[in-house]
Amino acid sequence: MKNLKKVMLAILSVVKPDEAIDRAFKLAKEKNSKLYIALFIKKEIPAPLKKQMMYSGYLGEKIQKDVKETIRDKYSNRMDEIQKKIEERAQKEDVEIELKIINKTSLMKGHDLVDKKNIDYIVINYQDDEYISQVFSEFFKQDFIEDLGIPYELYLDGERNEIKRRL
Amino acid sequence: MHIKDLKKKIFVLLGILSFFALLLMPNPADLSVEGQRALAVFVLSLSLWVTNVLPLAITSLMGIALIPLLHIMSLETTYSTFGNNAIFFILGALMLAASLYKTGLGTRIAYKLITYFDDEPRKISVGILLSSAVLSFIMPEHAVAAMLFPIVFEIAETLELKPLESNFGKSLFLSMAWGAVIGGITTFLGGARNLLAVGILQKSYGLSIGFFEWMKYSLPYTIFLLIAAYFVITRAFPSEIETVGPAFDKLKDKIEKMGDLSGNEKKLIFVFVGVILSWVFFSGQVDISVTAILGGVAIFVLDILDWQDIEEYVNWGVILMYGGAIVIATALTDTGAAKWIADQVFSVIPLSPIVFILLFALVTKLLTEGVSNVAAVAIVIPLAFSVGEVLGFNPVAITLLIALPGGLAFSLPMGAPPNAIAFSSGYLDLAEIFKLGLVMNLISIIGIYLVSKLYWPLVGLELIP
Repeated sequence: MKNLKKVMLAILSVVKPDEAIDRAFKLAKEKNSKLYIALFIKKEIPAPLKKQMMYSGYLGEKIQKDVKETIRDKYSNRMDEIQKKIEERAQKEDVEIELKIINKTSLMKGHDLVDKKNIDYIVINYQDDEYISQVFSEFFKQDFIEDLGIPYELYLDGERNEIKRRL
Repeated sequence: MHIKDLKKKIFVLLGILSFFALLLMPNPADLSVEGQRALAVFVLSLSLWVTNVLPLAITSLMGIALIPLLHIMSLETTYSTFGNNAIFFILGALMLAASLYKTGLGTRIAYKLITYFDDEPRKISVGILLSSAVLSFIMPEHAVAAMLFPIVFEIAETLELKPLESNFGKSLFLSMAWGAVIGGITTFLGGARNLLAVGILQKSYGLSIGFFEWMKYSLPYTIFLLIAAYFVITRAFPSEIETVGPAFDKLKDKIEKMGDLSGNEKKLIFVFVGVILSWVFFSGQVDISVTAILGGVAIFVLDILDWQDIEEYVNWGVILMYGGAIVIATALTDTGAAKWIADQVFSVIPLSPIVFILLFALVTKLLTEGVSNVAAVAIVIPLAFSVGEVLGFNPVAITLLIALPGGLAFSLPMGAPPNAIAFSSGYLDLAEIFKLGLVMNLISIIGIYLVSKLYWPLVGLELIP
């Protein structure tokens, strides 16, 4: 593999990110490249859950709000933990990182981000369970990944699922 | 377009085409014109209920509008069928449930039940399973799951359980979901579909099942399922941790911080005890719907809630959904359409009673995994009544045989909101739970067969009188 200028680690799911993090750090160290970390913070609850609570579960607005807030808080807490872990590791292993919290809108402009930041390799941890991760099942696979034009590795559900690599 | 959306659209399109085809085709000799039109409305509603393309309540409203429009039933009959006592019971029950949620009494009961047991992992799982089930005896299972969700999350976070990896995390959230689903079949309060089934029974046969009577038939089944769920969950997910001490202490701390019962909680206990005693002992003298409404009124008289609370905590769409489902089911039975389908389909298949029980329980269960369980019950029950009539089955037993399994969605998140809420925690793996759910589904079918054959006759309910 040729030298890399900047490796992007995109944590798009808080579920099982360890292997993707390990891989990105390993690449950054081996190729002496910078690590650009994009953390996706989920602001919306899964669409099917929203629909089910309102139309099938018939929960009142306040009860729906309570569930939504719980999900948002807990997912946000998990992302904070991941961020802390990455920062500590970068300091310990002397890897230069740039960290950005991204939202759905900035993710939709993922290609711009890749171009602007001179990213030449991406490691992505994602989830396609629509009850956990609402954004990626369609947009992510069809629009973002397919047209990326640079090598990437996909970690679906972390270490448990297969690693797809195109070099 | 996503494949799932495409499938939905095709299904709805088939529903619309079938609707027009049924309206326009020549009338079969043994089916009335009204029956043929009722069938058309039913097929259209079915396609919309199953796909959830429209909100369930809107589909029901559409059915209510189409029935008088197509002269299936008169305007007066349609609207008066909508305003039946099941609907008024649900109305009162929702107000009572809102007050349990708002005053914090429900949460207090949950904390107490969860910490009643020891601080061992297995016991805290039992505590969650039981508190979820017991609370679903007195409030809708969906609201119970929503109420327990932050508590279970807090336990998982305190113990630093990793999403999708921790066995104990999985067992906690699954106990919460399955406890609510199982508990919800036990009374009319946990799952209003139980009362929907009784409403259709009443409209079709003039028969009813009382609050206490329902519990008498359902409770042993609930206990059987809770025991089974406990074994399935603990076998599948043996805990990787030895103690839940830190989480247990946190829960105890929360209870202490809640302090003594508030004035509103005490008043609510008074109202609830009164309402439940009336349902159990005086349902012959005072209809349960009247007591439910009086309970709702008492909440305001005693100043426990104000109207804004009710607006925030109750989704009135449920009333439209249930009322519409009863109207459509009544149109099917009153016009003879349900019997006609049963004759066409089942006259060619010799059906023994055991096959009847297993078949209908299975069909309802399969439907309820994929669609709202209210829709599943509304779809199957008119057909089951007609087939049951041919076989000489007791309609009360049929109502229970459909409504009880009809509430038990174990495998998929779309089957029941408690499952969807649990899946959204990020701890449960869809494929893993799907398989476990199949085991529970099998157990529940065996269970309903055993309960109906062995237990119900002991308490005076014969399948074939």
